[in-house]
Amino acid sequence: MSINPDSGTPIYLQIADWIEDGILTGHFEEDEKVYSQYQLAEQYRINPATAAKGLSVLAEQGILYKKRGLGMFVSPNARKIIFSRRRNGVLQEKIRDAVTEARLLGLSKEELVAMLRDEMEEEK
Amino acid sequence: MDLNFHQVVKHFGKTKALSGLTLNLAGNKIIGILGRNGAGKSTALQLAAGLLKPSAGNVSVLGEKPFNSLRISANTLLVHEGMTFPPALRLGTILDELERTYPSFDRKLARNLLDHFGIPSDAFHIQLSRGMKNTFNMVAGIASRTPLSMFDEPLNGMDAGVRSDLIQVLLKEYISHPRMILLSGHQLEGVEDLFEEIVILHEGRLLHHENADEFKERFVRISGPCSVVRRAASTEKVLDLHDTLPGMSEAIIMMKPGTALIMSEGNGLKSMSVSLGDAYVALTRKKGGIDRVYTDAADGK
Repeated sequence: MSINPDSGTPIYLQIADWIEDGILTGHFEEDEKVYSQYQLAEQYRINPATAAKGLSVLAEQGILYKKRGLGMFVSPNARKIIFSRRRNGVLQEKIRDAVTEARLLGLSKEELVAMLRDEMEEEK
Repeated sequence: MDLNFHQVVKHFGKTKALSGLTLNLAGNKIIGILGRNGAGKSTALQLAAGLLKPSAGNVSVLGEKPFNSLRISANTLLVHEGMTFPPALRLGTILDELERTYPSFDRKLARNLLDHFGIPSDAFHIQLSRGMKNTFNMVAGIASRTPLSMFDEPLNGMDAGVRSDLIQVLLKEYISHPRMILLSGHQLEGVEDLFEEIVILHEGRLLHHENADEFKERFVRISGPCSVVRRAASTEKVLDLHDTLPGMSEAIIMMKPGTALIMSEGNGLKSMSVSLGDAYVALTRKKGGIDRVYTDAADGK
């Protein structure tokens, strides 16, 4: 991954997302140490304070925990926290995008709902 | 490290380069000094390095006036394009002299970096191309490891590879040997994410000083139907608002600290981030921008 300067997402949240991806894919295991703010800073060429902010966002949500003097580690229930938050957040956002697009195209509410229903039935 | 400017004025003849700059910087941070040409960036850095004496007001580094201070000279270094070295000395000898001047200078690092960038240590400074000169100056500045290290437009004229390597070196050095690093310039690509704080100078004064992450988050480019853009922008500070397609507008808005833009869903409004460069240009732009020059000319002004 590299930092995407054009995305509306602040860099420290991009860092947090990237670590979350690593946890979901099993790259970082439970109770395993994740990268330090300095490793992240060098890897993404960002200020160490920005990288630290990304780590602390995850710590606040209980995804990482701090061991004094040793660094940040993956919490035992990290995957569960990420999974539930992402399902609610990301899906919601995609639905919002679909609604925006539908309005731009002048689709009615019924037409959009019909398209959604068709899509779900097709997947069955 | 502490660097303070209090009501600093600097004249050069009739030209006023700084007209009452007050700025307080503290801590080992990488700080971006931004501003348009003539904003006073270089003058401010030269004052901090003790190369100039303020016409009025006070500059202090580590609690001391830098002008004519040996202690401050040994603890600060300003790298800029106009640096001159004795023409009779080869680059290697210049580095030897820098090692004698700066107690923290790392001679081995300087040699290894010059080797890496293919700059022969038996060359003379005057023989180097513009990009190589700037590379040498920056290597000297990085290796000096002074508690206050200042780089005025350091990356000008360098090819992309060297530029990218030097940015990496700067970051590694900052992590291994924390110090206050001031970087000024226009060509910010690749550097802007290194800043912990940004300072914007405008017309010889401080226009803005803020944490870099927070600053960047406050700027948003929004686009969509005119009425929607205008409504979204009505509660915020608008820096640039113009029509794009018929019926569509785009705006750069600057939000108050700690607020987020509420995007009412489904009305066609899109938001994008704004680069640091675009943000400070928008902040310091003259009203009407370049278009004004042409409309004024057409109106016979």
